[in-house]
Amino acid sequence: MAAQVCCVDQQRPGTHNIGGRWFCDEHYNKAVYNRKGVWRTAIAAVVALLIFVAAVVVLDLVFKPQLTGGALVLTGLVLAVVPAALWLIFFYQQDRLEPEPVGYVARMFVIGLALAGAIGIPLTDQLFAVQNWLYRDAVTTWVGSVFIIGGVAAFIIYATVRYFMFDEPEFDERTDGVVYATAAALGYATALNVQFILSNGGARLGTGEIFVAEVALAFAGFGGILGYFLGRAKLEQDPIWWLPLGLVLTSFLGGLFVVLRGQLDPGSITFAGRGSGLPSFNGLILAGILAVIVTVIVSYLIGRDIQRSLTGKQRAATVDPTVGDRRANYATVGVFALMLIIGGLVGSDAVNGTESFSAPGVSGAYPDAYSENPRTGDVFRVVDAVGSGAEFEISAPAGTDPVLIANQLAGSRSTDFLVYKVMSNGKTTVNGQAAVTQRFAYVDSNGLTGAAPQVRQGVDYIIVINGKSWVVTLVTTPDQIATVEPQFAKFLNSLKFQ
Amino acid sequence: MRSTFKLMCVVVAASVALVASVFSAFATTPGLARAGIAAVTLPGSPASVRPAPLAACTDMQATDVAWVTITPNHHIDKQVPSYDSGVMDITPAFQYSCAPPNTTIVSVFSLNGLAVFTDKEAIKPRTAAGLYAYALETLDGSPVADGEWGIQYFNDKTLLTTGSVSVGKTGGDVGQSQAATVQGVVQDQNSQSPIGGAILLVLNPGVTTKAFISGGQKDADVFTAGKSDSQGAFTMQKKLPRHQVLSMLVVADGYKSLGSDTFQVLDDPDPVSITISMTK
Repeated sequence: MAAQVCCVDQQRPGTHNIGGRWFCDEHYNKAVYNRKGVWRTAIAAVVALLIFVAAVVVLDLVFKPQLTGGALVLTGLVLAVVPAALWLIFFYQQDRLEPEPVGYVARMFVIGLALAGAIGIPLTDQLFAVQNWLYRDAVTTWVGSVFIIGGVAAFIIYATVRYFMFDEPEFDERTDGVVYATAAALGYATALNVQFILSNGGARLGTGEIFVAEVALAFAGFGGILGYFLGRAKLEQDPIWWLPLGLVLTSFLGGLFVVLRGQLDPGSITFAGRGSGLPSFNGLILAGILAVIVTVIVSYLIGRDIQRSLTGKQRAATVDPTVGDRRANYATVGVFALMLIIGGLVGSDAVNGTESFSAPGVSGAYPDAYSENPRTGDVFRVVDAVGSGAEFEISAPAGTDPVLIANQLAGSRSTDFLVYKVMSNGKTTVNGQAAVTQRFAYVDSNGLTGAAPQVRQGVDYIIVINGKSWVVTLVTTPDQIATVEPQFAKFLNSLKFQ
Repeated sequence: MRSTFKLMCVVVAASVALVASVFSAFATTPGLARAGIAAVTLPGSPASVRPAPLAACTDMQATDVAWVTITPNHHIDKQVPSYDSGVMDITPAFQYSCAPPNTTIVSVFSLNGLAVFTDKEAIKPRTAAGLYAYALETLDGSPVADGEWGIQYFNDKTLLTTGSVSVGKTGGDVGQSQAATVQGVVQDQNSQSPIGGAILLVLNPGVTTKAFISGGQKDADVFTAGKSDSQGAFTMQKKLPRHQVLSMLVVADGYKSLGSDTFQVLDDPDPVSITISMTK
């Protein structure tokens, strides 16, 4: 056990003990002080933000401002930082009454924003590319929302506070965890909002501000929850699972929010002249409720913890606090890594998962996202009708001369389609079997998905096995062929001809 | 508590005032009423000029399209509900509120749902209202083909107005027909920016979106389809029967798929315009 030194400033002798941690007089008084102004600030900021959003929506409906280009992006960016700015203004006002270094709060905000932009958003959008598989099915939706979207956001907030604030002497009250984590969370939310504005080249101001406020409120809630766990971990000696639990709970809350928002705001099909013309407030209401509930619950929990400390009912520590903090941190990082691994595996399975099939004379596996869609004359055919629009086909033409078969295919397609052109021929091997390839393109005048004629591009693999010919064909649009060809290669390599 | 409340009022009031001033600076002029188009002439003539609006022009607002005939000296003759077979040119026209700088009108003509001709033209900035018309004729001087013609007018990339008209035997009061062309835009719900490349499928009567997806996404289950262009605009290939409950499925990269099993065209004017808002 460490010497009896105040665990906050690591200098003055500890005169009071809370659950195994020693405090000097000053920091003991702070550790058992419930700064109620924080809750007033939080509620006031939520109310102010909702009023502001309502006003922006009304003004947008009244004036119908037509901003374009740089002005639209600039205005969007300004509105994207309004929620965080409001919260910081309110915090600063509160701070005048109960001093707390505003510099630290601003630092949490900036670091949260920077980590979100540099690590958080690239992790979710690029490395795990959640948007490509999130809504495949219920499992991917929940796992992607909780383990990746929620998990990454929660860990960035955690890391911001844990590595850049936790050991500072100014982190000396239980509510400090909430204050600093909320600032970090608002930094993350601001990064998301800035990305939203930039990736869309601006946003319609009314609906855009609703979204921006929704994200900020939700993240303020996430920050509040995680901040409670961090605040208690700083001032008490909690078990090793305490901080990982905070991370998991915050991740779950983040994921739950993504799922619920998807349910409440699934999109809409609106006829001109029908409907109110008002944007949807469902997500904003959900986020507002979340923020208020979190504020009330965390306020209650902190009050309860303080009472427990004052009455000496704290559990005694079984390990040196410094060692305990380090272990708890390792455990949190480990849990986060585990969440990413599970999320990554589920995502990978959703993207690369396959379905086995068996058709006359051939068996194999095709991508999960595709559906069997047989057509007269084909042995087997799958399509990705609502995705890339690609088709994988297997046919068994007569004859055993691959070159002749290639010419016959070209001839029949020339009569079926406009401007059919063989682009190249070649030879390769498929599963150890010699194959002739034929790359082609044509114009489909009656494509399923387009009013205008559509260019289609593809490749045939012509294989002769035991005196029987097989043609395996990929057809898709030119803009999709680079994406689809790796899937087709896996499909091709999975085939077993009998 | 009182100081917090006062601060809240001050901050919100200041923010709202700031936003209001910005919005009002970029506010659009009030929507125009449809004018008797047969009585006006092409832009440039005094008859088409209205008093200048109070604010400088920042946005072009357009009326519905009116199909007109033109005189040999290129003045509008009269508005027509349809054209007879053998007509040598067809002319969709619309009135606009004003023309901001750098305005380019893009005209997209379609015949029976297929885009067949596009052109674009830069027009001079003006603070007064005006009228824009594009007379379409064949290069070889032959009559315009019979069928259902459509027009989409864009201001650069923003859809201004659309319209359709029948030429030849299919002519008549299309508003009373039992089917209607469905067109519109696909956009991001939160930003309202256009979504390009979205695929829209309208399924055969009785086929639900769930049954379509779980049943192998068969082409045979698709009644008609469309795909949004880079501006999010789309036109369904086939007309949809009125008062028939159908299922519609919309998919776009990076967005949550949107399905409706209660899609129904009622007595909306043809072409029927819809807005599809998708979420991520």
